[in-house]
Amino acid sequence: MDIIPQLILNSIIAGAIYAMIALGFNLIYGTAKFFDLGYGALTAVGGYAVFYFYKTLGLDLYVSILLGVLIVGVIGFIVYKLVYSPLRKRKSSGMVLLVAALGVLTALQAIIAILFTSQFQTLSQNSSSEQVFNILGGAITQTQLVTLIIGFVIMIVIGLVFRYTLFGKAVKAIGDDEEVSKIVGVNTENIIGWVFFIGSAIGGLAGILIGFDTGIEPTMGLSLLLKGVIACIIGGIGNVYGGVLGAFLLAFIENFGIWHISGEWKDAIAFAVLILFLLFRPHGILRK
Amino acid sequence: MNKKIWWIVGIIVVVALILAVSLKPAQNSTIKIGALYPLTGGLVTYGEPSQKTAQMVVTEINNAGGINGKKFEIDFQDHKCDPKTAVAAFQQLNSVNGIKIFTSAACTGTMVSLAPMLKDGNALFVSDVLSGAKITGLSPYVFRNWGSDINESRLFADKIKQAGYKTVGVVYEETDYAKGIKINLENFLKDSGVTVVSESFPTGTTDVRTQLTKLKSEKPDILLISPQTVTSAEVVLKQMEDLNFRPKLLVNDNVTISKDLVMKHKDILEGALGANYVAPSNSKTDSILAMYKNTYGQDCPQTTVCVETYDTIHLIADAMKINGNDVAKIKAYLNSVNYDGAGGQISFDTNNDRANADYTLFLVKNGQATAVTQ
Repeated sequence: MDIIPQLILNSIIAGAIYAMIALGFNLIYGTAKFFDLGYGALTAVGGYAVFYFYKTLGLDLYVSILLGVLIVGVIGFIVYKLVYSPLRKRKSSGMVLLVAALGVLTALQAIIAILFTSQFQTLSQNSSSEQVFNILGGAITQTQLVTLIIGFVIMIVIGLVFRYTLFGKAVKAIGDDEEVSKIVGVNTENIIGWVFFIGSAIGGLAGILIGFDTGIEPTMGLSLLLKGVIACIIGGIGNVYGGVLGAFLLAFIENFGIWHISGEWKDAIAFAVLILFLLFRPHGILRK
Repeated sequence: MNKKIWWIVGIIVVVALILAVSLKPAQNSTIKIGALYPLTGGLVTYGEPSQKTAQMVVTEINNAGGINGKKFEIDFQDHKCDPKTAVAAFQQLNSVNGIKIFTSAACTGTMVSLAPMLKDGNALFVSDVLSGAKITGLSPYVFRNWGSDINESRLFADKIKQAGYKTVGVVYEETDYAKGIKINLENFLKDSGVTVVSESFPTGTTDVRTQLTKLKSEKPDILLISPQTVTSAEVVLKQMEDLNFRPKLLVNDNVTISKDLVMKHKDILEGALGANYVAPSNSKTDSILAMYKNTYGQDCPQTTVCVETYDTIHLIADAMKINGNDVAKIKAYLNSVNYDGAGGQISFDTNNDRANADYTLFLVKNGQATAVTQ
């Protein structure tokens, strides 16, 4: 059996998930300029919100997903207003913000575990009923295909918003220089709040899709975030297209990297690539 | 200024001394043991019935007058199947609270991490639901009231040889327990002409597609799935379904133990063979299970876990009745014990493993794993 088509599809599937994580993270990092670890936990919040609405309350699937995405967006916004914004106003260092973000990650994970237990949960109703598409001898499920399409749609929408809307230009301006943006009249506080809402919602949607593909647990966010961050650094941190490019590149390197060696090397390969980029191309493939 | 600082330091020292004295473990009125169970996470399937059964035994013992007239208590801690958490919980109970006698359920890796801390005989474990081959001879202070999964690997190897399979695939989690089953299987198949191809995945991963793709390309006659937790088993089975990889299957006891998992993935698991340590069914075990149902209003979800936990706690209580809290004396008692438990006679071999603890084969049919007579 020729495994290359399946390896390519495995890479695309993994890349689509990393890309979703990278899109939200890049948006927040590119604007607010700090390493938002709490973003990782928001993926789990999205997954568990849908778990509650869809599986516990029995609401319609699409209504549950919409509610889940909105709730994550709102929580992201509230976290910004309550935690990050006061610290930023105080001109706290990146280290202080990083520690605060770590606190947010830990607190959100703990709250999810208290509310839903640490038990692994799946969002799909029946695992074997999902439609599987065969492409050139490889298999990809409906959920994985939807994740891929949504990832590309979000990337294109963000790209268009950045290019053609006043909001997008304001976000880019804040990312370039927040102080100058303030001077020219951009309401930076308001814009960053919206960026947290949108970025968090994207992260939550990623968590929801992962929940349908594999499953959810309170601590799922950190490992996903790390892969998303590696993707951003490889592709170009703060660059929307770069994050997606990095996500797929990372996924291909990981999956083809373990073609002839044991699967236990997968994470080692990912972090070796990160170190190589940090050493030799710290700004990533695409500049901001 | 200096005087003020000395006053503050003095007050802190006095307060600390008072706290140290007042926090000293309560003496005399109670006999307390520690229990490290996986109360959250992927092995809560074992932890929850263990805790409920242990608590039930505590009530039973106290209703019968306690241990030598003293109230019997168990301090339950969640080790989450995580060695770091287990070590922290043990240190709290042992060093701070002064507890010396412990029980635990799962996981091999947590016990491997705890064992070096017992070398001075400051504490002793009588554990169940602990099957990893690494536990054998791990520490003179670790007693295992459960079968070793070396028996599981032996059963699987026998089945593979009987069926005349030439290529065996293994997908396993990188933990002491899950990897141990794979290593023992390889050892049993050595020089038998069977080729073992294996792929591993780290704990916590949600993507094993490429490992499964590689195994699929090897076209194994049969595949052994050896996850550490039900969570990992779920990930592997789901992705096998996605990849339409449906070979004949051998599954470790963490798969067959979860009724929900087996039912959920009944199509891919149809005909799969598993193996587990199983307590016998008799009037004593029936009354334990009835007591569980009366106490909690639900059936014990893992009958062997409930029966062996019941026996383990009673065994510990009996040992403490005769030897108090003395680790050396309890160790000597356990080394020569022949306890008439509900799950059979309990004695320990020279490696502190339960003697004569064989495994039973299971067959998955229509979403249920049932024991098969060989």
